[in-house]
Amino acid sequence: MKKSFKLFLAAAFLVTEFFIVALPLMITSAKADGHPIQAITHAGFGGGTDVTTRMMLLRARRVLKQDMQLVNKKGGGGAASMDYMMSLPADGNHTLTWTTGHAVSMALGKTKVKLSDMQPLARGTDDPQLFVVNCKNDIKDAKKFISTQKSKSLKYGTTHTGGIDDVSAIAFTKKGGLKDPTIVAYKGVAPIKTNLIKGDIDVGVLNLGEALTEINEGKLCVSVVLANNRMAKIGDSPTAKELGIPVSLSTVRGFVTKKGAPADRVKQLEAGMMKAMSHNYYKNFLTEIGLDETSVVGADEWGKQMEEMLAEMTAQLKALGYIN
Amino acid sequence: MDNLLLMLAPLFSSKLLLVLFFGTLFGLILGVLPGLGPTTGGALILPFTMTLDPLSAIVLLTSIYCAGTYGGAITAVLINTPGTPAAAATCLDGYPLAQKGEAGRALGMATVSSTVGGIFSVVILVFFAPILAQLAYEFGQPEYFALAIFGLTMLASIGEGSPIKNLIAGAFGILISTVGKDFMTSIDRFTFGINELTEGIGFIPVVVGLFAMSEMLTQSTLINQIFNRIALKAIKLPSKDDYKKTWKTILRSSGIGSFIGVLPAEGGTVASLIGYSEAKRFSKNPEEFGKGSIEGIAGAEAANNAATGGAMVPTLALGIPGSATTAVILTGLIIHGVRPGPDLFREQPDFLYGIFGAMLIANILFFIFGFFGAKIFARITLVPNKILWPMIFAVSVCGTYSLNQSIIDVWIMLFFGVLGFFMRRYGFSVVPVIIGLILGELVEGTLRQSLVIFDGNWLMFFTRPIALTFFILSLIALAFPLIRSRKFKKKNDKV
Repeated sequence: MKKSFKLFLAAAFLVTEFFIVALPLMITSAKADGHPIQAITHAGFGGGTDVTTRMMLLRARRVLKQDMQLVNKKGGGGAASMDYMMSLPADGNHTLTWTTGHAVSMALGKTKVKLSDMQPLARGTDDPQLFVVNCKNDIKDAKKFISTQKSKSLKYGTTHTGGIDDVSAIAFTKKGGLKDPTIVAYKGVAPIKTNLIKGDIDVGVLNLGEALTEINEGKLCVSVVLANNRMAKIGDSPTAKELGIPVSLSTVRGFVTKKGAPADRVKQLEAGMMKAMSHNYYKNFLTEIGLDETSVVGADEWGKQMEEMLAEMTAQLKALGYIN
Repeated sequence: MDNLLLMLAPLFSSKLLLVLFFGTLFGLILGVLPGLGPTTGGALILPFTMTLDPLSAIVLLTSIYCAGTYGGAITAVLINTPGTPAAAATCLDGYPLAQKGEAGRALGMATVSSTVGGIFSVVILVFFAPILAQLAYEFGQPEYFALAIFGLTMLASIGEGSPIKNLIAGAFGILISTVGKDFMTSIDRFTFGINELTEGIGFIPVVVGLFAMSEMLTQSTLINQIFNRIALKAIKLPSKDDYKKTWKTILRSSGIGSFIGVLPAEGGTVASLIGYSEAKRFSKNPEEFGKGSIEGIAGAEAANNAATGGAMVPTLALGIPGSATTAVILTGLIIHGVRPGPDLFREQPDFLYGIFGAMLIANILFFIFGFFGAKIFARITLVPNKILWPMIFAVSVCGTYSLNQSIIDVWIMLFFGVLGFFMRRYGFSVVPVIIGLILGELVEGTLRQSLVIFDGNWLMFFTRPIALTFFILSLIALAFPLIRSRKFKKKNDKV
């Protein structure tokens, strides 16, 4: 073998090693005690959970003076990510982004992990469910929206079934004494918006950030907000409660760690995250997706909401026949 | 004119030029490494972009996207392993042509057609983005169903296997696409209680397994033979004859790629397969396809690079990612406080046209890097089998794992590697499996959604002009080979 060829082989090996091993390590282990915090998510790149986690990480790694590494564990609607967290030691060197989807997975029994296995840290977003319609459709008026459904079933576009979206639609129509909705399930929000604008479906069950562009353009309008209070950016849209239908459901994303971590470490994580999420970067992000600072709350409030949400999703899924 | 000046802005910023240079080089390396590619690479570099201003950050990501898409062709031609899924169709003719000792010609055509396709799509993006953005809203579920059916009409004719074997392989691909949670009923299908499978079988593990692993296994049977390895002396620009043969194909595929790219959630892989299939359909020498056709390379490469610009249309104009990599770019936009949408065209034209300009320059840069640097990448083919393929194995395993950090994905990749090895051994093409996997989910999902929308009345499909057009095109596509073989027979009879 020629000397130049051997040199080439060595160089190729080093370059390959660099990109496979060294570069990711450089990115992920800027270090502190040699252990980056694993920030576990169940979502793909670019989704709401992924972006929320990344936005929290931006400042949290500085505040905590410890690098944070995003670890993606997809599967089972969040069950795989919870199972993965339980396989780690309870040392406070990991966080899991817990969402409404995790509550559904737990209610459906897809994991043996219980709420008591998790230590709440902080909530990152609280995004109310909205019923969004085409602005050309007269059901954009909330009263018309309800009266129409007394005699006719509307087509609701939801992301998947057996989740917060169809639970929202069915809970609203059931509690309002309206005709059962026809659920058209999609894999993501993009086709829901396209189909709404095209007029193929009547209602889209969306969060504000998901439809804000089309709402600002005047293509889509929010008919009803499933929250206790109106939202600042869409102040004209009434809540379901105001219309006499007491349904309040939201997509939430918050952070937990495995129960049993040292108490001072838990406090340190909670304080670090709260500080990180009070930074302008995070506030701007919240504003961009149509939310405000009230989304961010500490461990106590977040823990209570997790319990309420699991109870609500279990009850709703039972009512819908998904579980016995 | 103002917009044109805004597009040239990156040329006058040393920082942006440096970002472009690094992004293009990084993208090329990522594209060449099987299983990695611009999606994983973009996600990997995303945290670094926070230290940059928003324009530099998005320029970095888009240059990785453009160069990475092209980079996949180098590995496809030289070692029959697509560096990126979008280069899968390039293997079909790139590698056979390289085996004939014309690796330089194959890479030259791939480089030129990728550059033309990329630039064509940026031009489309610049002039037609606001108009094309409207088209996305015209595509409802029935239209997607018809489009997917049109895509499936290519199953029988693609790949080197017999039509029957291709159909069997395609049907298997469709079957694989049904694994995972059924999003319409929430029922798990073929997951065997494995949580990771509820998301379905990932595209990357299947592609890497079917191409890289099966090739490694095939090569392992030849380990003791003297193997005439393909060497690249120099990359050759296409000859006049090649240009004559391919200019129509390049233009057609550039159009197809730009169009497919615009459709949300489609992207380079579907574009290259359709570009390749249409090149074969319109070719005067379809029998050369799969054996080293220069038109096949041009058709696939122009289309997949054209899809990069196309995919940026829904991403920027609607906030809907046109491909997996644009989903990463969309994340970059959001974390930098840029909200994509029609407002962006009105409120931040300097930002937007800066991106367009950067994409244009990235396409020129990867042409230069490809032309002068492909020889360096080509050295990979001079590495002995015993060193090269274990390296490919390591890169494939790392690349497959890195996407979702899932060991299950690695097992899936290995399973499809063994499956692909036996498929090839018994005369099956692996390409229809990929097409079936891509289009299967689309066909099933959109059919069921459409039927709910139409209250079960399937005749309603024919009331939708775009859907009807695709159905008619599907019929023509199915009839075309029959008509051509009849014509061929008549000609022969006369002779």
